[in-house]
Amino acid sequence: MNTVYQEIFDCSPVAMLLVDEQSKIELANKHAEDLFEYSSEELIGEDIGILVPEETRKKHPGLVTGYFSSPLPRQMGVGRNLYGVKKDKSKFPVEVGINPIQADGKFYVMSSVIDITERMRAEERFKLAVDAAPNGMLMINESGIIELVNKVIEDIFGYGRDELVGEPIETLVPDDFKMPHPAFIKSYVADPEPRAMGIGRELFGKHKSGKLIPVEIGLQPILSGSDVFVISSIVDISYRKHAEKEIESKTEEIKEFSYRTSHDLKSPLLTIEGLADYIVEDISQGNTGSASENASRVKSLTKKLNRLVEDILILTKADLNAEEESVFDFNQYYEDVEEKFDFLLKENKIDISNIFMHKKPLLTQQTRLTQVLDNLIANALKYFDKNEENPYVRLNVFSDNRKLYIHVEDNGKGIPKRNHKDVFGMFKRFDDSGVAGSGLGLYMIKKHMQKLGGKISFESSPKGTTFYLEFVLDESAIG
Amino acid sequence: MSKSVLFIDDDETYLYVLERAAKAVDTDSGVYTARNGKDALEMIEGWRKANQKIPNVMFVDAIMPVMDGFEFLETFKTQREQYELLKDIVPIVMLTSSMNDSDREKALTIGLVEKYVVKPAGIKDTELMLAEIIQ
Repeated sequence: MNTVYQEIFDCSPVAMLLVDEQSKIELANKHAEDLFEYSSEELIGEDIGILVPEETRKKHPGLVTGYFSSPLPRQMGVGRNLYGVKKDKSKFPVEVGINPIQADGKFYVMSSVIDITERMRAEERFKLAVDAAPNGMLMINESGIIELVNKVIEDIFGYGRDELVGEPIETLVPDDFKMPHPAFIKSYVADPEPRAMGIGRELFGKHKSGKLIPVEIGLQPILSGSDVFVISSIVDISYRKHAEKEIESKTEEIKEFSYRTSHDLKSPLLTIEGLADYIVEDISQGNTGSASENASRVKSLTKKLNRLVEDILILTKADLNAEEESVFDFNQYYEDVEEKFDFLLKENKIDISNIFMHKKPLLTQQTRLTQVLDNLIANALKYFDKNEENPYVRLNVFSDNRKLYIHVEDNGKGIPKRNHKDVFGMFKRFDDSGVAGSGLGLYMIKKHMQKLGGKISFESSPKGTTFYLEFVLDESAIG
Repeated sequence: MSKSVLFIDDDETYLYVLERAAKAVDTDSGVYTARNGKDALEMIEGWRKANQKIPNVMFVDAIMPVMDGFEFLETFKTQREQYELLKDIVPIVMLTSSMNDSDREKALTIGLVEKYVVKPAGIKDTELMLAEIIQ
């Protein structure tokens, strides 16, 4: 060979080997010697197979002959992972380019070999980084085919990565948007810029089960030569959406609460101011009787206000505090109730009784349940039927395998049917007979029951009312 | 000519305040009170059936149990269309502690309410307010 070419061959920064039709190494350059750790004397005349992994050695000569039947300059083994073997038998990943050469009337293959160990390591690191990302990371090529997904994507969408790589991205797009999506990708790829997807819209992804998941998607183009890839970062925002809804409903609750509270607090205050003025007028007119009456009125109004403020405080506490759970002693509770409501019971000749038939203990928050039952019993006593000969209130407790049931039953006035839907509403009072009440009682009870994880319902007619409480029994509390 | 006034409010102590203030403004005026919309309608029906004189002015509170001010206005509106006698009753004033704009709008939209007044504090202002309206 010409010495200039020999120089070029020898000094090429790429390992180069010249192989003849019989797979014998004709020439090896310096780089090839360094790469494979042989001297050129050791290589020349040897079968190229010695540089190839053992598994492939047998079929390699066949590949060489096959190449010569249609010799084209090309990359070897596209789509496969190729390895070379050094003198010390260690394997390393390579990229091999092959070119046909005719010289001195003979056919040769010129192969250039590149050690891609570093590149593979870098790719591996990239994959690890993507996999470790806290957001879902997904990469598609310009045709919209998924090339790479990370663990979070697998978790969000319920697919294994093998099920996604190679598939079109539309697999994860809700049915409503499948049609226009490819066009969307095309226009993005034509003018790619890092940005959030679908600003101002609600975006959803489709889980393997078909369920739609609210997501936020960020798009990042990756330009590699003339190829465009798109990396999308995907975040599952279900939790955030749920929290937003919670905040909205809490805000509504607070608004309603403020509106009603301000009225219920302002009214008596206005009246008190008026009365105070009249007391002054009465005194200046020497009308002590009227002054005295008005002073009593002021007193009872302030008491009413006080009760309302207390109820409001209890209500806010009802929302916040959680107690330790313990077994509820119904017998002790009943004794306390008889004492607590002794005056009302005797005054109105109301009979109170109980039937405790439950076989399982109830593990619950003592104070909360006490408040609930106190409130229900107090209501039953308050709204007793004056025309009823034998007014009563009953507290009954039963259980079955799964649940514990508490019934608070009375034969009082009942709740008018048209008010049934508002029973647990804020500030709702239905009776006008002068019975004092803030209207918050049943609303608080509902809140308490929610916190206790129990259900409450009722039945009411002019013959009487029964409230039904239900608790699911804790397995561990049994026996 | 003596005037008569109907106050509709659930707070009976406040009704005492209104009654006293009304008497102070116009000693001859007849003062009637009702604790909620339902009772008020019953009173009005009673007068109508007996062909008696109906109050010249009605003051209605917005928030009351059993039947609130707005419900009362709606029902009364329908009744007015049925009975000639009732057509003389105006004006109606909504007297309430609610400073809520939407309540004000709601009241004025129903159409029967001539004025929406937020309850004044203290007798001086109460008497002034009543004087302005009753006379």
